[in-house]
Amino acid sequence: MKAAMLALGLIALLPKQEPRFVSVEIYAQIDAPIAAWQIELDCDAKIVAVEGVKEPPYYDPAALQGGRIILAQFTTDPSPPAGRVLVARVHLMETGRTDYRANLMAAASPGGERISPRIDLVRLGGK
Amino acid sequence: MDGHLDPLGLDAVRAGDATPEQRAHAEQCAECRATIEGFRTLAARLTPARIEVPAEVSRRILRPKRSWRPLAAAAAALLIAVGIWFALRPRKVDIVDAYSVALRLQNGQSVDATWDLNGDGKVDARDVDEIARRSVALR
Repeated sequence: MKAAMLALGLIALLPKQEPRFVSVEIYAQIDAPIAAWQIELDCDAKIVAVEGVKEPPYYDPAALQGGRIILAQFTTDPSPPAGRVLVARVHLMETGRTDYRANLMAAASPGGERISPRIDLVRLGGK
Repeated sequence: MDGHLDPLGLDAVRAGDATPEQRAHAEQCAECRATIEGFRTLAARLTPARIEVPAEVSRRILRPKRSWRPLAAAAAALLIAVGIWFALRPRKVDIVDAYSVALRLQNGQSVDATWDLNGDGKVDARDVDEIARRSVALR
């Protein structure tokens, strides 16, 4: 019992992990132009805001304050960007070491042909 | 015909399906008639007597309760439940569906009426919005 109390006391003395706000940029990369995309982001941090590039992406508001979100957007512009395209930026609050996982759910080139761009994430801010 | 009727002939006479010759012999031969009479007695003894079965027993045995009915009812209920679920289940969509419908609307092409997700009788930008929102819904 004493040992447990001592352990709890030591834990209480440890410096608390300060939350830090970071941004994660989501990129889709493929040679073809990307007219539509849908990506799932999963992490241990809390999602606080979502930012689009031209327009805000679709997402479920229930995802805010959670660690999982599905983002999607499309454009009927006949010449959408190709190559490495920034599709969205997500702002989060981390309270510890956080891993980010992104999963492509759907994407299409102009005309509606399904494509599979590579998704990569760039974390900005924090330490 | 020589001598008496053989056992098959005797029984044919008893059963009434003998040939005219067999019948004629039996009429003339007392020994054969006696044997035929013995066959009749034996046949009568071996024939099971009719038993009067109580109506309730008869109903249960001859028309047993049809056990397939509950099974059929359960199968029908399951079929109906699956049908309702199938009809009411949320349509699985993704952003490419929203994009495809938006593109068709933009180009003035016809759009399948099943995309009228908000049920207002037409497929328009609001349905595209609904498809997009459904595609990102957390389940």
